[in-house]
Amino acid sequence: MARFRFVLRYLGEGRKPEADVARVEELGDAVIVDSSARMLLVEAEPEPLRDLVEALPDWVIGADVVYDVPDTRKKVLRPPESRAGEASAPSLD
Amino acid sequence: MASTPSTEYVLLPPQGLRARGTANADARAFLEDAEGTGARGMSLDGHHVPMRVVDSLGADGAKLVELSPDAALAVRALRPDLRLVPVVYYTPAVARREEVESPMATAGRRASASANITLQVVSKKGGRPIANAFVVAFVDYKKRTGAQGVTGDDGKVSLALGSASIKLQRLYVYPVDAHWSIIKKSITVKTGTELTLTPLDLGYTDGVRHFYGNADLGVGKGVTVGVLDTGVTAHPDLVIAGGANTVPGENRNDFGDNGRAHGTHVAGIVAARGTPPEGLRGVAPGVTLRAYRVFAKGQGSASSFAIAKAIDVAIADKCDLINMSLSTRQPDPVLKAAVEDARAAGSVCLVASGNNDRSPVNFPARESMAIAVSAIGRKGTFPSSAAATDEVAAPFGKDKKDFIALFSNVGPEIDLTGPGVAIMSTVPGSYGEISGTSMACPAVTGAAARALTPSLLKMKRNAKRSEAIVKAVLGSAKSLGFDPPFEGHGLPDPE
Repeated sequence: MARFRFVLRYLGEGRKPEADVARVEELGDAVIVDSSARMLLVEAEPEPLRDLVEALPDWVIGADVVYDVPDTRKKVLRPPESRAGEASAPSLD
Repeated sequence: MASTPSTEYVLLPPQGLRARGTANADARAFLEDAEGTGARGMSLDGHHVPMRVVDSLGADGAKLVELSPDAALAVRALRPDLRLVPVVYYTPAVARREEVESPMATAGRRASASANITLQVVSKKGGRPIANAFVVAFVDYKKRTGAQGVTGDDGKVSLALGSASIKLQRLYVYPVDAHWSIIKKSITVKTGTELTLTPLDLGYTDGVRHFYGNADLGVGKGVTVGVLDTGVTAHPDLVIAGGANTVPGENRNDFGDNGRAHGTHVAGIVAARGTPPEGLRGVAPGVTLRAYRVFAKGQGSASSFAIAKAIDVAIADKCDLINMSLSTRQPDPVLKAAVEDARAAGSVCLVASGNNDRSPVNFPARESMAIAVSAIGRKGTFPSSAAATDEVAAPFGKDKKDFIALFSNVGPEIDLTGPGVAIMSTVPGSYGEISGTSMACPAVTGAAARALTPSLLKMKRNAKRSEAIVKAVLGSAKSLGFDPPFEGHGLPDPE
């Protein structure tokens, strides 16, 4: 099964409950990559982890979304058409 | 006067779908009042707000309402403790083509030498070669075909354009620092063509200085601003009080710029303390500036875990305002929760709307508890040869020199607007000019700091405090004459 990176965030008051963290640790081959007072960064198969989090009160789960450095510079997407057919020119379509 | 068409929104309590508990008593009372209004509308702080309740999840629950854009703005300003979210209708998920650059188009190294054209970028001041400038040559701008590359130490870049001489529709040069970017249209280039860049004049009136001038050094004193970004490097114009690096696996204390210069530029717009023309002055140079690096060393991407963790650290460090010049098109429930936690703890997140050319507002700016910022530009605040001239487009404001930047995302979630076209600011070891909602956001953050009073800052750090901050900031805004989806309440605390 494919493994993905998820962020689990505790929505209750104060720090995340250690008992809940233990439930995640006990989950098959889930690996806690990093943690903070209210979050866990977890690598795991999606379904078992989502099922567990839905059963835990006051937690939210999301994919570890990637944010890019914003940029407004224009960019070329393809080489000039006269060169696009050459063997070394990669296709982007 | 013609009536403005209404849009459907969901009106929600601060958290969850129902207002429960003593902390949500005000929100519950409001939702219970709204339950019985039907199409009559409501009175908010003495203002009549036309609003039709279409559906409800019960007396204390979320409401589906119809509001005009102006009425939505009024609700957001008068009841910042409630979430007002436009109804989103999902369409089938069609995979978006990623804008992956062609390795050939980027480097040009695979093409034969005869097909390459070598250009040289030099400074107008003494003809000095300019290294590390990003040169983008479009043979066909609409199709985005052409070649691009970065200049070496000799200022030269070799581009695989397939001919010894070629007419380009457009040519852009983006230097790393010290010079204005340029655009040239319908230019014929061949090996040896020289491209000359004009040095930045730090005494020049760019967009930030036009709208906010050069503030006294004490302006913003008492306010703590956190900049979540690529980190902030020490600079003669900046005083960095502290910060943290929240990238998994990196040194927590290394919150210097990660090599992209973005965070240092953003920080300077908020709080640079230089004096033109030797240095630059930010919008609120008196604030206490803290830097939180969420982008990994040398990398152009950050994870939601690092960003959410940085928000938590900024809350713990008692940041009043948290600047987030970053965005994604993908919903992120984790960051949404972190932004809401900040609001509950008396801190307010100000977020760039995104640079996808008038697309809908990105996440997390579109979250109701964030302050979403679009970008305006002003003709005459950058040279006529600058690449930023591309961003001039309708709509124009009451003053026809003001325009909404073409790159700026817009929509009903926009709360405020700020100058974001061709903005000069600090970069590691120098100064640079960059455009983006990333630049508009810190200008608004600086202006927000100017609008906060000492008595407001003394309030207990809770949701009431952040509501008071939002009211003060939105209340300081002046419309520039754009419709609400473009400017929200307008430009905060202008001179």
